[in-house]
Amino acid sequence: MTTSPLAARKATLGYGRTVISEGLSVDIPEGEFTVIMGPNACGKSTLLKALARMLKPSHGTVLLDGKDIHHQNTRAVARRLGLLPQSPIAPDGITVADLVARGRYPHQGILRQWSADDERVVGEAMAATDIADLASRGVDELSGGQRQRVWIAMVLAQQTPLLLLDEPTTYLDITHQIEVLDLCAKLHREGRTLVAVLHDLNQAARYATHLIAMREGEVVAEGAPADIVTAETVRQVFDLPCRIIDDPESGTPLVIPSVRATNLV
Amino acid sequence: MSTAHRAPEQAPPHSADRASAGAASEPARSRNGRRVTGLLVLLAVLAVLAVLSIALGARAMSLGEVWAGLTDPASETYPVVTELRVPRTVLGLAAGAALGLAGALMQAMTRNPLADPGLLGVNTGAAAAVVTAAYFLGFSSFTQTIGFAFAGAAIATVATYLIAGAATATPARLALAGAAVTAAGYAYVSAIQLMDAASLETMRFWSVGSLVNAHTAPIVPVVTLIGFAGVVGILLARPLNALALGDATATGLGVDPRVLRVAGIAAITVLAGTATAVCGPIVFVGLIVPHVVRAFTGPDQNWVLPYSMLTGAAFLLLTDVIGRLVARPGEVQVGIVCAVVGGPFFIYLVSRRKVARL
Amino acid sequence: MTTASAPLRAAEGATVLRLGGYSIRLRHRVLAAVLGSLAALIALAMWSAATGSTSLGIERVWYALIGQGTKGDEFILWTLRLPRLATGLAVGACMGLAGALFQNLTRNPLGSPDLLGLTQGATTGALVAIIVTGSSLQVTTMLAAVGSLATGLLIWALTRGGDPSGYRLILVGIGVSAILAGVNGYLLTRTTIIDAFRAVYWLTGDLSGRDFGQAAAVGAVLAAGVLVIAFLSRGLDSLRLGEATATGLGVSVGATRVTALVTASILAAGAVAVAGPLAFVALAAPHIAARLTGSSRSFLCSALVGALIVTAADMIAVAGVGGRQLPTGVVTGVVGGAYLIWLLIAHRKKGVMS
Repeated sequence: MTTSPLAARKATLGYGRTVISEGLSVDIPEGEFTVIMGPNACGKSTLLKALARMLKPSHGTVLLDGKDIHHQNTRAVARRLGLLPQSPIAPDGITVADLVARGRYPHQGILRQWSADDERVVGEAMAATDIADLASRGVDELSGGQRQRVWIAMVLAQQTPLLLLDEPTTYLDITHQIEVLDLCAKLHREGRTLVAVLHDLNQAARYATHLIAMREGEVVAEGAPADIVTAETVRQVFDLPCRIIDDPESGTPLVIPSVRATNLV
Repeated sequence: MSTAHRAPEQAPPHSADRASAGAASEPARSRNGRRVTGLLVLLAVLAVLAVLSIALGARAMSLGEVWAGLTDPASETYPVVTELRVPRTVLGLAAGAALGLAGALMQAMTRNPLADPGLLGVNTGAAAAVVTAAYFLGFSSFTQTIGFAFAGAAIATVATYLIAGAATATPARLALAGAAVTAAGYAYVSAIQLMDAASLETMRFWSVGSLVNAHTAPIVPVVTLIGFAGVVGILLARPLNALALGDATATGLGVDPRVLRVAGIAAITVLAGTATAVCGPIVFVGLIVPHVVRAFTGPDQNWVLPYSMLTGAAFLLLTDVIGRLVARPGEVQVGIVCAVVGGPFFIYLVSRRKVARL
Repeated sequence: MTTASAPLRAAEGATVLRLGGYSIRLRHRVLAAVLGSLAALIALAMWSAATGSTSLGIERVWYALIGQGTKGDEFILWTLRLPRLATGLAVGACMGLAGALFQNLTRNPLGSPDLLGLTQGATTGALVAIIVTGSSLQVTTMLAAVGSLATGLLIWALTRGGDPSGYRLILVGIGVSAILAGVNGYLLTRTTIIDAFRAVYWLTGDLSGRDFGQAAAVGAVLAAGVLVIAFLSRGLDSLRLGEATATGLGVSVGATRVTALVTASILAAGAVAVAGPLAFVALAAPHIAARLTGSSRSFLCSALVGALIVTAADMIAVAGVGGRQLPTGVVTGVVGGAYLIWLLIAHRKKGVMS
């Protein structure tokens, strides 16, 4: 196994007294595009929250670069690890450029409020997400797809080698979903380590280089999509009888639910 | 007074100027130009108001008399100017700046445009302490109750914060806890007022909010406290900008929302608590000033906070001057004028514009 | 009437009652909360009738109630206690309903007649009566009702055709409320200490000396309000899903909002005019009801909790401190505030209010 910049070690995760996962251990491999998948309420968002230090394990630890993430300075962590939550809030009347610029926070200080680097990085983040033309537009005037790209640009402006994305394609139409995933793939090719929670199995299979399949708070299978996405695993994780064929476009596994399965519903 | 808080190294205008021009768009630049100009205009207005506040009152003075009163100990106006008008002006500026900033901090911290420091129980706590001092200790003069008022405000805020769940407090829980503390505290104040005529007499004048007693206030400690908390408050602008994107995003950017809320509440308590101790509850400044400001500056806290500070100072000074003019030779308390002048303006503002939410 | 457990809608602890073409769906937890509150209210009301400066006991109350008690008992019950009790129940229910309506309309947990200025409007009316004209309780009541309703009308006029989200409604309400608070403060500082005392007494809110006429007036307001809310509540429920969803579900959004605003204003006006602005009842009752029912809205439960708070507070007020009776409003603040504080602390992790 490759080195792992981010990992959970025997972590018990939950909210209040409700335990979602117990003794969960996961390694996020360096330089891979990891997708966490699984049925609703399987604990995938909870795992992502724990990896992003939003949720502190009641037992066990989350390690960033081998050290407990909760024992590290949170701004230092923010320079290593960026997070796009499921429903971020855009202040009313904020412009695209201002919102992206807020991603520079962990790199700034009282005496270092807006360096040439900040300026350059924000420009690059907007260019990478193809939103440079929208710079002075209000975020509230944008379409869903544009808005999601703005948020990704904000996380990019954080300049972190690690990116965590919680369901980045939810609420987007198919074109915008592909657009966002293509962007993620590009970021991955440029050398970042990505972790995303995705709902669509076929998209996960096509874009991920490493898959983590979860069910009822436990990791059921883990590995390269070609090894993981099998009829057996899909049935085991989703209770869905299916056939797997090669995606004619990309050659990655494509899940085709059985007719019998669709008729059952 | 308020300008003194913005030491050069914080200099939000310049840095933020570049911040939003980051993506180099013309509208953003002109907006920043507008914001810098606005800040200068605000400072000029503040200077004019300060002069007016010294010149106007039961006995109006010419500019020459004001100058003489400030500089020449032998002049006829010297005692009035140095002992009454200048302290009143200084305290008006300090209290207004404190309330404006406290309001802006409160709204940013809770992401609720309806939040004001009163929601944390500041006013109720101060009122309860003042009525206690009046009833049990027989204190009625302003100088005797000022320390009580401050302590009461601080205790009520801490209680609200703890009831809301301390580190786990969400904005909605904070608001509810504040409302509950306010209800209980107000009940206590009413009960004592109704049992004791002397307490009622103290409270009915204290609770409208006034600068009448400014000349007997301990100016140096008040200004120092407000200045110190003001610096802390302004320094929170950048993490508050991160918090505006939601608790999750803020955490991702390296801001711990819990730590930020503790720091914010501490600053708000000192700012609003001191102002309330000096002039009684003047709720409206903290609520409307940030609204007016955001309509002009947009949501960037680097601008909203200093603007709220200056606008709060200007607003309080203006209403105090008006209060001295409308009922000469008597005066109408500044809290009343604030509400009666600020209210219609506020309504006009929210009816005309698309209100900037947080 | 037949009781059938419908497989779909009864899934999460509910029962559907059907009679011919009509059906009512009862959620068990809400039902339990409503019945529990109702039982507590009845018990409290009986206890309240039985105790006081002269303790009657349940038995003598019963005889006095059916007209077989002593003259003295009947006087105490029918002239002193029942009118006050009835007024308190009706006022509390009105305030609970008004608070629930305002919180629903504004979609803000702090929405209440106090926040929107209706209480301040009533206070201005009352202060004018007490300080300017120096008049009786009847005139004060009248002017308080006028002040409250006028404030409601003013807010409606100022927000007409504006932002439909309820957001502007709150902001305008806060503005109006602040202006009126300023006016009230001014009136209070410009009067003699004796009138100021009377004014503060009214401002605190009290139920002493209320008669059946006043109870009937509030009762009529309450009945009208309940009727309107019965028709309105499903529309308001849909509105909570957002404007578009509500329209899609066939709710006429504008009409629902205006009706709700008018109803809430009238309920608040009636209650405040008769009892004064009993602090905190309208704000706390819906939150406590939400905690009890586990759902974020139950008008019926909110009304019952409102009545409970006022009745309990009034009993404590009559018992008083150190032999001295307190105005009811002092106690509603303490009782409501303390209860809400307790709920906040006891239910830290639950999500209803956060």
